[in-house]
Amino acid sequence: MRNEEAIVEIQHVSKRFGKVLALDDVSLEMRPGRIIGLLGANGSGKSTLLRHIIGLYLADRGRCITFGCEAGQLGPAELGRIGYVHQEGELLDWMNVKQLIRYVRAHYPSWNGSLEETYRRDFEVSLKARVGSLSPGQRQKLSILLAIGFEPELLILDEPVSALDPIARAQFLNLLLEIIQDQGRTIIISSHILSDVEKIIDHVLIMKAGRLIRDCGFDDLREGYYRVQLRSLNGSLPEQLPFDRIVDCRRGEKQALLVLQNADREIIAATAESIRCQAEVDLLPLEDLYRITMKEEAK
Amino acid sequence: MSALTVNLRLFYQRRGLWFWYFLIVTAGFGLTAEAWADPRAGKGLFTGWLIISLIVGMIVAGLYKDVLSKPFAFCLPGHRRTGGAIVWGAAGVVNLLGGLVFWRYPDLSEKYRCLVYFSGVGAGLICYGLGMWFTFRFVNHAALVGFLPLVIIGMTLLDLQIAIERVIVEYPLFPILAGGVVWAVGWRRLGRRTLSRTNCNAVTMGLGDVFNPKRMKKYSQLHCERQLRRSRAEGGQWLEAFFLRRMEAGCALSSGRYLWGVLYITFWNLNRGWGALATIFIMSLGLSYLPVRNYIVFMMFLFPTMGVTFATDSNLLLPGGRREQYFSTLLVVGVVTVLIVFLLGMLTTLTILLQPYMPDIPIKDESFKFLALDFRYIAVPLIVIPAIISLSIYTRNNHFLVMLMPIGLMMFLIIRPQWLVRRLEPAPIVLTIIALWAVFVLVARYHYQRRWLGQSLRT
Repeated sequence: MRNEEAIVEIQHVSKRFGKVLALDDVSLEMRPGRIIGLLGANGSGKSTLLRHIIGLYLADRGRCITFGCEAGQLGPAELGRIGYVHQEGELLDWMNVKQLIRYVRAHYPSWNGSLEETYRRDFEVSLKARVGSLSPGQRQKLSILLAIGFEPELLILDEPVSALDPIARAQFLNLLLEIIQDQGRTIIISSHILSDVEKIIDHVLIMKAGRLIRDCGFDDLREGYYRVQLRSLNGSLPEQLPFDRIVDCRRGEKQALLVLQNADREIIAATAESIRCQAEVDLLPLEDLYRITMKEEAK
Repeated sequence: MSALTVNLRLFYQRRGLWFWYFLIVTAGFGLTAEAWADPRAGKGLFTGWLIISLIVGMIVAGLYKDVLSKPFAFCLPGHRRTGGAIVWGAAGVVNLLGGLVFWRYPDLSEKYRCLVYFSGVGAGLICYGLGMWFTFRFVNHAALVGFLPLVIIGMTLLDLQIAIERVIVEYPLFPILAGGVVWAVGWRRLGRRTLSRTNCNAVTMGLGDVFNPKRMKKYSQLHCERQLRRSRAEGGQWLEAFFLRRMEAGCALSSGRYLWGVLYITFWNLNRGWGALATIFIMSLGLSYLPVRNYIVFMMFLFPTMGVTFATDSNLLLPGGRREQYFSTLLVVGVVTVLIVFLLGMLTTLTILLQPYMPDIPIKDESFKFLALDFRYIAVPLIVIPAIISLSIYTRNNHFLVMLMPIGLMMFLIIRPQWLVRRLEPAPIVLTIIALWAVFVLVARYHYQRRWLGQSLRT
């Protein structure tokens, strides 16, 4: 059964490159209006998955449907709704920036000139520079501009900020938030800079060795784990800490730092009180959540 | 593993160099065998090794320059000394071996033979040093090898090889001294502190890089930038205006607009090659004096074919699906073929028109006659283009394999010029052309329907 609402549907997709199983029975759906974070270690299959969505790769098994069309059959009408920033920013190097923008713009029915102008000003993109002579950071900025200029419904960003400096990264994240204001837009962002990604995403996909090991809302993932800092109010901490589902524990004589899974804030407070401790409960940053997810998966 | 071992490994790890190794070994073996079998003075046979020494100098220095251009090499301990050891170590081995041909030089006393041997080694070192100088002086030193056939032909026509042979044999002290000076200067220059700094991250085009599409692209980019700096113009403005107008006249997000876009990129690429094409055109007229003119001329036009890049090979996502990419490939190859056939037709017509007026060129005892090209040879590009492009698509633009095919074919046809002429009957030629174009269409179809596209994450 196809879900009419989903803009991307991936059903039991497997892909092998020689001996390497790049995707292993991956199934997921992407709905419009979301910013989806695609996380995973190098070689976990993130870029391969993204390339299946736009039809560059074809699945050995399973189906990938984008905008209601088999990804391998995507035509100009569907591809004209997708913007894609590749991690290596491979472009037509012999053109200058102005010519490349004009060339890409000519393919689309509409182009947001004011967005282009603002972007060029904010990100200091020079029109006269030869594309091939741009630094990796400048190249990424140009790739992003080319991918957002025609205001695509689905924006796929494969490591878009790896070469950007911190200020440009912050500007870029703000830009994404502005883009998503427009209802119905979807952004998929794959990045290793998790501290950036967590500021904008509302859905998380985590991949490991070609498998999709998490597909959930970012809030659901965050609220699944708490970091608890315990401080004994009277003497040493007990040998056995009476908490359920301790994922991680680092302790000294009077203090302990725990990560609890699927816990309740009130129960945590009550339990801490029962052992005469003060408990500070926090949400985990995405980097820690990612690490814990990977660790659990390894078990 | 020592720095020396790592550097030595590069010699076999760079597969692009295997082709040159093959040529060097074949030529070296041939020259030595002939010098051994028929050691006659005044043939210039003994100087053949000097050309080999020049090429080896370019290869070895090119590899060292390539290592220096890698930023990590700048910080490697003791790396500065390794360069001299490798480059001049190879110089010693090659020239001590190559100089052995002079051992067979006839009518020499034992002592003088020894002196002539070292004179040959010294001359080899001079050529080797020249190759090294070319390498460090020119970014695209690989292109200089393209002029070698002309140098060899020129030398042969003017009997320069015999003159060089006489200098080596009759004035042995001069090559020995000059070779020693070249060795000393070269060793000193390779050990300079500034060498690593000036070459760090520099673009270089060595002999092995001719088969490396990434390096070719990088060099082409640098060349483009230089041209841009010189002209201060954007370049391709009329092309841009024409094609963008065509694109925008068509329906948005349609196959037509995408195909016009691909044509724009194709013509842009071709537009950059007019200079090279004009050179080929002029050279072709000169080559019309040679017996194997038809093959050389026609094959020379095919090399630009291998440079054809498909817009679809970029990772820039444009609104063109697999179907559009397939048709765009057929279109691009068709356009390039028509253009090449048209240019060859023009050139052939020109040679026919010029034939009555072109003078004979007398060199030594021979008179070289200008002969018009043969229209029948238009079949050659029609056969070779689909074969090259099919191989290029199937191997995902593996330049090594793709370039070997026309080079091998050209060499074969130069050695056996009558092979094709005997087969230039219309029916088999037409059948071959149809079959190869059908293969090309099937390979392209298979590629765009079944295989991954864009640039691989794994290559």
